[in-house]
Amino acid sequence: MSNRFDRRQVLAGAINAGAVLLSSSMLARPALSQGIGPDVGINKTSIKIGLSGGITGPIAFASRQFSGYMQKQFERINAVGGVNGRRIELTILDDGGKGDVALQNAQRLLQQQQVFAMTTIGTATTAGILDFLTKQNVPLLFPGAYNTELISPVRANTFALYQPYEGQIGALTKWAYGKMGPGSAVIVRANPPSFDLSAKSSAAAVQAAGGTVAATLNTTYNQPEWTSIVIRIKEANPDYIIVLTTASDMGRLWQELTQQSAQPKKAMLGISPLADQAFLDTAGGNVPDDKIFAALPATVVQTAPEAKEARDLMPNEKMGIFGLEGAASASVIAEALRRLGDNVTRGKLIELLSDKFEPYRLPYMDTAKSAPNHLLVQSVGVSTIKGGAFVPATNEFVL
Amino acid sequence: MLAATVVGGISLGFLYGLVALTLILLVRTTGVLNFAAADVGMFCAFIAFIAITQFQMPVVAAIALTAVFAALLGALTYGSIILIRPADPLMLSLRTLSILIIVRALAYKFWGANSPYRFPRIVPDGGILVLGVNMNYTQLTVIALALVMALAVSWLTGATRIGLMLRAVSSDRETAADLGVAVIRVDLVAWCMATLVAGVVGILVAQLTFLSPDMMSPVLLAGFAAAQLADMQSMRTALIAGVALGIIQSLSSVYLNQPEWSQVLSFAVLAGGLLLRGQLRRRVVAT
Repeated sequence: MSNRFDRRQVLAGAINAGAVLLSSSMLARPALSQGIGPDVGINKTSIKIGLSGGITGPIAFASRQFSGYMQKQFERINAVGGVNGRRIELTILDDGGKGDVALQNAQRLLQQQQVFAMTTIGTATTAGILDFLTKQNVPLLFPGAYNTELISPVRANTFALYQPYEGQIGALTKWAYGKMGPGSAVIVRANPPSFDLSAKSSAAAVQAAGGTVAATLNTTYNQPEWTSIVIRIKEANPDYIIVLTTASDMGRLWQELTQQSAQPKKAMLGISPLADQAFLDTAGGNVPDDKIFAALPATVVQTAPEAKEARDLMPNEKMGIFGLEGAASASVIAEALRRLGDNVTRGKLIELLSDKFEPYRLPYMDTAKSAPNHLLVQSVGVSTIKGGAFVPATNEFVL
Repeated sequence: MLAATVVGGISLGFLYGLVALTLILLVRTTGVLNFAAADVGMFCAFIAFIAITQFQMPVVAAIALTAVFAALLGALTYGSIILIRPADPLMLSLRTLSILIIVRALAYKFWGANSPYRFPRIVPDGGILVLGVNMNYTQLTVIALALVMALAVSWLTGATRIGLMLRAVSSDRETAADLGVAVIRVDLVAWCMATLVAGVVGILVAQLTFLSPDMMSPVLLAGFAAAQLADMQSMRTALIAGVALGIIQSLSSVYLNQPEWSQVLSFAVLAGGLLLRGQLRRRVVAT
């Protein structure tokens, strides 16, 4: 038997291999280029929007509310003819609160579902897909996420409605110290890096107001036990506790603080999840009046009369703050698409929202309009708890 | 602060010890390492939660119902894992992984969307000062119930006829069968008992922390560590090891301020304990 290579066989093999490589790259290219085409996810009768959110996992309540009320708002809009005759179709994928799954969902929504634009719910997971969506030049519209990275640095394709946690907690801390006086603070933060800037912002605000930061305590999402955290808080005996974590974790912290007689002397301050129903559900019936203050970006308190329009979307559900935000995001998305008329492309949408979106106001949301940092509503209010329900703590914006 | 930290770790530690106890009970009688031990307890806790919140059952009745459910679940698990197709203990242990996956998937399916939940309080809020440290009634109840359960299992296995049969089967299955012990019935009792204890642990964990499909992951890990430190033999040692682990985790959480290290610590304590035990044994053999 000869071991010599047959030159013709080698050449034939090389040609075959090259043909396979070339055809597979040609097949692959449309799948990639479809992600950036001008008319992806839109036709004469529908516009597709994709959402990735932690429907299960540590932020399940918030995600279910945000996506649920967004879905219902789109259904309400579709019931009266949609946007310029087009139905808005929302596809929701669960990422379980995990960044790698969120990225897979984004890829799936763009490449398989071929959505026109994306939104998300979840601060930690949204951080994981920002770069991907920016590279694909896919509009990311008003997510239920509060990352500073959404607006700094400004990304051409990304638009926010809700002041990031960094801005929320800085403004709230300054307001609270102005109202209740200086004192020491303990900062309790979940360990994802998305809370780093918020922790720094709140510490800076405490110091600027003449207070001291007694300790910064790290926790995990769904912290298994809070006794050890409360032991440290009790040791510090602070005037304020500043919380940067999920609503249910905040509720369990408050529960443990109550059981250990370790409530702060003046107040507990928190980012917007503190204004959510999930906090009250897990805190139990131990929340005294005027002790809890939560930042409230963009919208009114969910129990306000003006929010009835959103509450009516799901009358049998108890709407939390994230439900209201879901309805608000949906409304602004629909309004932006409506203003584009018939000629809707990703490029035109991005152009409109970047500097041509004229003031738009919902009954339950402050005025939204184009801004250089792509944050369409800059304001932050404050909510508190009275009689077991959320009410505005002040009629003015603190930011 | 140190005293409060130690006290805080004791209540969770007792729960780790109880999980270790269920693992040892099954390993000693059937040779099976039950990876689903803790998550079955989670499922039972959800049954109790539904009974109390949706069917408005009194707490005592709900727990009694859950106990019956747990025993039946143990029997079902035994039948589906072991009786259906006998195999060597390693294969049977691997089969329990499928139970873990099924139980967790069902829990996520039924209850995952709105988790975590606040389990209804079995005891009132508040507490008492014990040696200058504030212990809430929940922690005291967990410790008391854990001790009662451990004593009950110890009495059952050590001072009753069924316990005698359990010990006979764990010592030598074939000889026990030859001598007329109903091995299958004994195995069934062991599985039912282990699942019952797991159900109680699930409810107690939900009381101390929260109720969620993934609430038992750290508990299972620590339970395994405690069981290994007890050589999968001594239930008393497992209980003590569990408490020690709970205290170590609490100390690390308070003084190191890195909560994600607590699970790493379980492994570190396990590895250190096994190494130390190996060295001590070698010294004993040498002398």
